[in-house]
Amino acid sequence: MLKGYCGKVLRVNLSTRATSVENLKEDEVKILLGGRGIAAKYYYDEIGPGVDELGPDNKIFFMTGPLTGTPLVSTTKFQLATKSPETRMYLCSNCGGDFGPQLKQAGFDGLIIEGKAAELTWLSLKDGALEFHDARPWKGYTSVKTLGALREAFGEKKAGAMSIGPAGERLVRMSYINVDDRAFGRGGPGAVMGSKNLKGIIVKGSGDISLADAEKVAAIRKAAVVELKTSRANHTKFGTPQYVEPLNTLGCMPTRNFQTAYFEDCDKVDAHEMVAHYVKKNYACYRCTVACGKMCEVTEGPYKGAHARTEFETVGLLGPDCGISDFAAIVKGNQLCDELGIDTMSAGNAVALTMELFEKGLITKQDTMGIDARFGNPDALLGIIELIAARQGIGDLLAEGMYGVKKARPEWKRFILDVKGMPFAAYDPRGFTGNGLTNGTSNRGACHNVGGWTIRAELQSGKYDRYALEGKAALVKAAQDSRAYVDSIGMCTVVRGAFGFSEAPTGEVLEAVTGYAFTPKLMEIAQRIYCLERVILNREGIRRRDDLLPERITKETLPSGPTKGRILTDAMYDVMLKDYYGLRGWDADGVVTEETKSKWGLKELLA
Amino acid sequence: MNGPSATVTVRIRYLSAIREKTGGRRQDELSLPHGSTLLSVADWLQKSYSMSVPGPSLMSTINGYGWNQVPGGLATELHEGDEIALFPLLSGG
Repeated sequence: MLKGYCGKVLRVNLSTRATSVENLKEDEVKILLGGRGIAAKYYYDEIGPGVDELGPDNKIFFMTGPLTGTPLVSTTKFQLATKSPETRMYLCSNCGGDFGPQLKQAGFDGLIIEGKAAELTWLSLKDGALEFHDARPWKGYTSVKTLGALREAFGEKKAGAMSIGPAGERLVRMSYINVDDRAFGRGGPGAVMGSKNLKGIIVKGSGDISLADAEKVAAIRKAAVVELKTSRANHTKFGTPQYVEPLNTLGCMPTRNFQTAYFEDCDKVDAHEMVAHYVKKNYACYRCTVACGKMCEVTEGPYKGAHARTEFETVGLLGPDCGISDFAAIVKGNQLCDELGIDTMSAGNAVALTMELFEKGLITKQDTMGIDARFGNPDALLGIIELIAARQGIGDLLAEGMYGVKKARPEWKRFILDVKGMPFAAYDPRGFTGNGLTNGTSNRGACHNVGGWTIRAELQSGKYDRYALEGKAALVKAAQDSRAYVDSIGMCTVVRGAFGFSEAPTGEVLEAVTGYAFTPKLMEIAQRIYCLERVILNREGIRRRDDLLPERITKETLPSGPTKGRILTDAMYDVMLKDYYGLRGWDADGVVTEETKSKWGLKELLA
Repeated sequence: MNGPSATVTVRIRYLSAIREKTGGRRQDELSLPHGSTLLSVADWLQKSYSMSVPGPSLMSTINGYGWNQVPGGLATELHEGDEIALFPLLSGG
C-alpha cells in the first residue's frame, strides 16, 4: 500500500456484533484517491437504489484521505457516504475534528457501520480493539453531553468522538452528527445513526502514519504555516462570518425565506458585531494554525449564557433568512441546533418557511403550538427549532425535510428553497447565476461546497459577468471537480491554497506523503469521482428534472436591494445546464453516457 | 468653487475585515474632477490607506460589479453617486 494510508478498513455490523477488517485496494486508491472517492465506490457497491435510508440495510462509510492525520496543517478532514434521510438519495459529507486522524492512528483508513443494534449502543475503538457498549442510560442526551459521556466512559479525553442528539434518535431527517464539536451537518446522517440505535463512537489510536518523505513533509508544512499567517489572517480574526456584510452588500443574502436578498439590519449580525460582543476564543481543528472557529458566548440579556461556534451559513440562515437581527438569538439558536442535533442550515430554511407560511395565513398558531411565528421574532426561531427536534406540531412535518414537506403539502412548493430535497445555503443565486448552476448540479442536492463555490470568480476574475450565463458551466464544473479531490485527500479547504490544491494543482505534498505522483492526475481523478457520484444518482432515478431550481428563484424577481429586479429564469438556467451536461458528457436528460463512463474508467471499475 | 458639473462624488465603503486597514472607518466620500476614472480611486486608496486595488488580497466592486468585470477596467469613468465597495476575499462559508 502507498504511504500515507493504513491500507485497512474496519467493518462493524451492529445487528450481529461481528467485525471484520478488509484491505483497501491500492489500484482503486490510485484512481479514486481516498475520502469522498473511495466512500462513493463503497456506496455504489453496497447501497442499491431500493435501500430504505432509515432501514438496517443502509450503511455509513466513514473514509479518511491520505493526508488525514499527517503532520501538515488542518489535516483533520474525513468523509462519509450514506443514503440521505433528508434527500432520499446518495449523500457525501465532509467533517473535521479529531476523529479522522485518530481513526488512522488506530490503524484504519475507513470505518463502515452496517445493520442495526438491538438497543441504544455506543462503540469504542482503541487501536485495533472495537467494543460495543450500552448507551441506554444516555437516551435523550444532547449531542454535546454525549460527547462528554463518551470521553468519560472511555477514559481518554484526547480521543476522537462523534455523537447524535435527541433529534437523531427521533429520526428527524435533518439530524447531524456531532464530531468533536464539528459536524457532518447536511443531509441528515444523524438520523441514519439514530435508525441504527447508534448513539456515539469514540476512537483513540497510538500508531504512526507512514510518510514517504518526512523531511519534505516538514519543509512543506513550514512554508505553508508562514503563508497562511498572511493569507488567512482575516479567517483567524473574523472566521467565516466576515462574509455576511459583503454578501449582503452584493444583494446575495437570503432574507425572510429568500423573499429578498438584502437584509436592512445586517450591521447587527455581521462579523464586527460578533467580534466586538460575542467571541470568547478561537477554535482550531487538529493541527490547524488558522483557527477560523469563533467560540461565541452571550454575556447579557435574555439569552445570557448561550454559546456556540457560529459560522457564516448559520448566521445567514438563522439570521437574515428568518428576519432575525439579534446576534444573541442566533447564537442561542445555533446552540439549540447543536445540542438537539439538527443541522443549522436546514433548520434555518425550515424556520424561514414556517414564518412565511404563518405570515401568509397558511398555517396558524394551532400548527405552531402557540408560537407567534413571524419573521424577526427570536422566540419563534428558538421555538420552531425545538418543535422540529421534538417532532411536535408543524415540527413533525418539517422534520421530514423539504422532500417530505413537498410531498405532504405540494401547494407549498413555491415557498420552498431546495434542490433534490436539500435546502439552500446562504446565497441567493439571483445575484450570481453560476451559483444557481452550483445548486442545481451539486451531487448531494443544493450545496455551495459540493456544487462548486464560484462567487469570487464570478466577481473577481474578469472573465465573467455575475448576471450573465457565458462561461458559467465550465466555471462551476471546475469548482466542483477541485472540491471533489480536496474532499478526498483529508485536508481542510480553508488551507488548501497554501499547498497548491487549486483547479490547476501544483506542489508535491501528496508525493511527499504517499510516494505516488498524484498531483498531475488530481483533476482527472476528481472528474472520475464526480461522474461516479452521478452514476449513483442516475441509478437512484435522478434526471434533469431533479436538477432544476425552485420557483422562487426562477419565477420571482428580487423586489429590493442592490439586486432589485434580478431573476434567474428557467430559460436562462437551461442555457447553463445544457452547456454543463455537454462538458460533463451527460446526455440531455442528465444521464452519464456510456462513452463518458469509459472515458473515466468507470465501466471497468464498476463492473 | 467648483460647480456641480465640475466634480463627481463617489462613495467608498469598507466592508468587514477591510476596516482593519482603515482604522475602523466604514466609508469615505470622495469628490474628484469630472472625467476621473477608477484609477483615481485606486491612487487615492494607495495614498490614504496603502491599499493596492484591485489586488489579489481583497475584492473590489463598483455598483455591484467587480472592477475587473467593467469593460473599461481602471479607465472606467466615474459618475455621480457611484458606489465602490472593498471587502476581503470571499471563499465559501
